[in-house]
Amino acid sequence: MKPRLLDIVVTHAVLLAFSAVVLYPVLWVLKLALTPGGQLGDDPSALPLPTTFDLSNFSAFLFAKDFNGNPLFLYQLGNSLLVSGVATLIGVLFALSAAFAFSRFAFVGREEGLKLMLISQMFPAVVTAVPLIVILDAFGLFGTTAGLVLIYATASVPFCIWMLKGFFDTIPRELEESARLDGASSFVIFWKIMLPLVRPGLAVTALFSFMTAWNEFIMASIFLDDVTKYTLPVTLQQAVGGYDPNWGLFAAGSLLLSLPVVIVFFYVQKQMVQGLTAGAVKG
Amino acid sequence: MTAERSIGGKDNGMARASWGVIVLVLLVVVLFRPVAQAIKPVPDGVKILLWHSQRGEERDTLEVLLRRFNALPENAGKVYVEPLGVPDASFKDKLVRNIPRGSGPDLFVRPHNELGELHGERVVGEVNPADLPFPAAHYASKLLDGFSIDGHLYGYPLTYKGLFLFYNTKLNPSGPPRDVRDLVALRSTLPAGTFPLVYDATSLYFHSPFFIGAGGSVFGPDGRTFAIFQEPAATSFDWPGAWKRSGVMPPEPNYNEMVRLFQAGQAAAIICGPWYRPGGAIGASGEWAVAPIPAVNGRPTGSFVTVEGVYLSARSRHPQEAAKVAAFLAGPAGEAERFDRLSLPPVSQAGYARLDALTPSDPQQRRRLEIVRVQRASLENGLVTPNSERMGAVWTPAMDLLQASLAGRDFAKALEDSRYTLARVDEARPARVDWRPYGAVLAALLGLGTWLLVARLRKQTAGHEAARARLTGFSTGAALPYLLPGLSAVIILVFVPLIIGAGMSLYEHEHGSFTFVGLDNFHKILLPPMARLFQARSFYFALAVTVLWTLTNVVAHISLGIFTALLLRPSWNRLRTVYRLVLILPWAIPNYITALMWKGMFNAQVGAVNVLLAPFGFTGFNWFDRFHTAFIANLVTNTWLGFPFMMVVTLGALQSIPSEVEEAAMLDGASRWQRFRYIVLPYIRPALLPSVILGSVWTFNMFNIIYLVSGGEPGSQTDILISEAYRWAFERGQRFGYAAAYSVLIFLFLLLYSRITSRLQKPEGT
Repeated sequence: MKPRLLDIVVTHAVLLAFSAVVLYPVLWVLKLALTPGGQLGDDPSALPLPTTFDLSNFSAFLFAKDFNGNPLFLYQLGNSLLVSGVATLIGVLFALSAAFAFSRFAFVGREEGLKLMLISQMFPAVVTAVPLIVILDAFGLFGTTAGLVLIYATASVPFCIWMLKGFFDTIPRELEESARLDGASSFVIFWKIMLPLVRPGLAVTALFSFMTAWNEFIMASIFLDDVTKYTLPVTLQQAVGGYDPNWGLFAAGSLLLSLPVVIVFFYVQKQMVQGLTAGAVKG
Repeated sequence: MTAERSIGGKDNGMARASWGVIVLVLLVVVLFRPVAQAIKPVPDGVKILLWHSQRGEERDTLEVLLRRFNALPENAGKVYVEPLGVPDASFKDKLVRNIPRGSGPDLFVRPHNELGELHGERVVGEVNPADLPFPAAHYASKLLDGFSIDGHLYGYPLTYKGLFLFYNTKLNPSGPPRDVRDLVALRSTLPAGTFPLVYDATSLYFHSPFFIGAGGSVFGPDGRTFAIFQEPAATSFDWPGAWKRSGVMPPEPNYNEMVRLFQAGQAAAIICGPWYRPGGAIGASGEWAVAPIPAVNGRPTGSFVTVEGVYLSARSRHPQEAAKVAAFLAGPAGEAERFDRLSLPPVSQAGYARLDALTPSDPQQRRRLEIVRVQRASLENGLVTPNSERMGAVWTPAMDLLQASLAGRDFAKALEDSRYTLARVDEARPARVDWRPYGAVLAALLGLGTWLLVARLRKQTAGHEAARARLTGFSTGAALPYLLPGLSAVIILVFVPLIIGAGMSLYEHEHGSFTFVGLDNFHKILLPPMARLFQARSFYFALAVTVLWTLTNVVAHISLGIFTALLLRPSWNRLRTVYRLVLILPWAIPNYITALMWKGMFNAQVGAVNVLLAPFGFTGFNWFDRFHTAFIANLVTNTWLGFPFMMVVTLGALQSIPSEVEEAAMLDGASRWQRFRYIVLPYIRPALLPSVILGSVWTFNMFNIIYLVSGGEPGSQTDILISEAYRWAFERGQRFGYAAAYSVLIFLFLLLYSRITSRLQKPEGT
């Protein structure tokens, strides 16, 4: 079918307009990051094209030091990686076999269990924060990295069960059935047949669980007091959160932090949509 | 596909090696801090931890002083101090949480107005007046009042901030206005559209000069009873309305608008504080000067003054060393440094004597000196803002009263309302409640629940789960070992906190201890006094805002998502992959980053949105002053963030439409709209529904956008349920029980919603 010229022009025009709106704030971040100073209103022009190419904001972010000369970026990068990594590890390890059971086994309360998993996902961390803080306080974990890992694990375990169950569901039953006829136990089926097949799904689930923790700032900023224990998002939010904001620093840090996230996201977004919505449909 | 390729790594040696390198690098980064901190030499002597919330140059000055203290020979090997920046908004809550636990600072720097509350929480230590760096009598008058409670001293004054007058030297050729009596006369001498005096007349703080000038005081002689809405000064709250009607003040006297008018040369004078430096046209021309606040009918007046001080923690392990640091910061060296670097007023008479000896020739220097002098006048003729815990209750009713005056409402009635609101503060606190009846009800409910559950599970063992077991050959018993790790983690990490949270909703949390109050929190939330029912901060208001927020967002996301997906559909468009990648960006970038960026773009003075909308008169327009514009700012941000998800989902769903059906419709001459309405929409609806449900739950809980973009402004009006719960827990004095009750209500709401939507989905699925 040949498209009409009018269709072509209109489609491109509208899509270009949408792209412009989408890119506009991103361009602002780029401009602010490349402009020394750090104030928003130094150049109130409508079109945010970088006029200078200055990396001082990046170096300020990367080489920031606290009063004692600690390299904050390296510390906080380490904290972010540690917290997100361990929370993801906990999530995936604890969820893997349970997701397999939810997908393949029949047991009493299976549907109810899945529903509870979904409802616990609806409940945002901000609201479970109050009892969690009281509990962690009772165990002397307040303000510690371990406590923050546990907070993130509360979100990552049900999320991983939910996502992985969806991926297990996509593996055809014929494979395991022939194995079972050959006398394989359920553990062999899980370990030797299902696990290798679900590896791509496992990777996607782990990446998303990691990114959720990597992007989290509000619990971290309530929970952590010591600047050397901060995660990177807390630093970013505090750069512009209070009075006397430093937009240049914020923009440079934002670019550095979101670049890996955006790249990962482009690779796995299709599986993400599948995993999320498949779960919601099948229930 | 791609994920498989990169992660599956088909026994490829190269891939293995590169993964190994990545893991190694990550491990090094993760281990860097623990190792670095372990091998770093610790200085000898006692460590004093100081918390502050200062930024920029104030922070630099503080750190310079602390370094100087650490370098003093008499401190070497004995004591050293380390500062820690803590965000301003959560400073008080963090202090209250950490100090009783022994994990807080030894010292902290804070304005004095929170002292009453901090003292009530027993986190501040008493100061021996003999430890002050200057004798008590040598402080500028009234300053120490800010740190005194019941005759005891609780802080070392560092500096203070008072309000004063900035005036336009061109519009006031014969000097600044001297008395408010002259304002109306002044009006006629100014060009049209110019106002003699502007200030933020909606705030008690900025109105304080007139309140004080009229002879007002916030508390009676006993320091407890509220005197703020009593004569003689109560009438002063009606002056802004009169000034507005006589043209002395502009129609909408809020802070940003006032600053804009003054900077544009449309206001002859503005009352503001030392943080402000005129920008805009006036700032560029330098045609401004400062002066004391005009007298009120012949009586000189000052303003509310905020004193910044350094405090000792009630639980410091090294109180003597901490006192030494505090005395150094508050002493002559600190005073001099703060004036030289930051132009902040000194607190001692000796400090003022030093300034009086200065005769700078540089106009900038002269102006700085002048700013310090006019603040001293504001202190002498004004009041140190009372540090009482009860002060916090005053601001809102005073603002209501000022707004009633500006709006021209019946002043006598508004005054009565404000007195009534204030009187509610003295109502009795909820009493401890006997928990036994609740326990009995709870036990009964638990029993009933268990019975229902067992009955249901029994039915299942005979029902379709059993059929499923036969089908798959995997029995219930075999599932248990697989379920155990996951289930125990979920129970410990998710359900135990949820149950404890539900239990906490029956308690009231104050000063670190819980009191059982039964259903009092729910009573307060669900049955507030009629007058409060539809005001900001009430549950019903927040609920209405949340529903409006969810509906508008979901509608916007779906319509934009479908629209863009349809545009991306035609296969003749060779650029569609590029467009798709661009349009998906908002979903890919972490949302707290884009939310903060949009917040910056909505900034009144310098934001890009106002620059773009400048042709429509949006210059200096403050988006967060009114409910509807603040809501729109949130909505725009979240729509920008949210539509790509719907677009991706729709694009997936569109692939399910068989091309023959559409082609047939086209041959039959169906219009574009008809094709969409009768072919496309029915096909994509089943795939879209779960995403709509998911999206609505996300939006319902979209804390980040509300918190970061509007921050609930104006006055918590744009807060949704989630952010309200957060504020009750972490920003409004740790009301954990109240916040937990909010959470329970949110939970019930979501539960109801998921029940309704699962009903909605069922017919489609089967």
